[in-house]
Amino acid sequence: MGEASGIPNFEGGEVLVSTGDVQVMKVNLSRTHIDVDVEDKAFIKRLIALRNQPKPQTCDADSEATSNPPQLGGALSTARKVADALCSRGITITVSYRGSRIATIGADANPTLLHHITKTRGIAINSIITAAKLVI
Amino acid sequence: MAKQSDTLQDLLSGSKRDNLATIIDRLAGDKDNLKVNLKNVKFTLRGEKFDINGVVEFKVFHKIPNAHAVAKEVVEKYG
Repeated sequence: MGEASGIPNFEGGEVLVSTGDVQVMKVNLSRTHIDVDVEDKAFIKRLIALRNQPKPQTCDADSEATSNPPQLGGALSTARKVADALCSRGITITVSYRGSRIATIGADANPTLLHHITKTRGIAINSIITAAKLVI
Repeated sequence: MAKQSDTLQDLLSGSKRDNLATIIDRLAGDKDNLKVNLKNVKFTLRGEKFDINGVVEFKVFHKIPNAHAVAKEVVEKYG
């Protein structure tokens, strides 16, 4: 099913991301699970800042439309679509910070209250404290 | 500005190799030298099986370089 939509079906493996000598992220892949463990939050914050950075101005007439900042509604809608797609394929993505799980997206997510906001049972926040540690 | 650019050009042409490399690196802005190490990553895509091992290195630029500030600093230092 994933192949038809151009999404790869992972069977296993490990991806280590580092900047210089510092390991920033580790991703463990299996058939049903993709575990993302963030080690260095500074790099993630730099990436988020990069995403929020205004795009260089061009003479293109559509530049005004494309330079709008990402909105929460749009991000939530995208997250919901991704979560639903993962649920239908039986895949789970977990995001951790230094071993402590922050969020679960997909088949194994078991939200307690969040599904009232996200309108999907595919997104769960496991630890708000760890999430705050990652962001601050 | 034109005068400053000329000064920088003169400086770059007369710089030692190390200085030139440093200046060019700084003109590129803030960046991370990212290394992605793929270990036995196996997946199927469009009916084809892949098994990837290896390291990919690339640079992620975080900040648009401020060439004017770098030029000014270099001119003040060496000019």
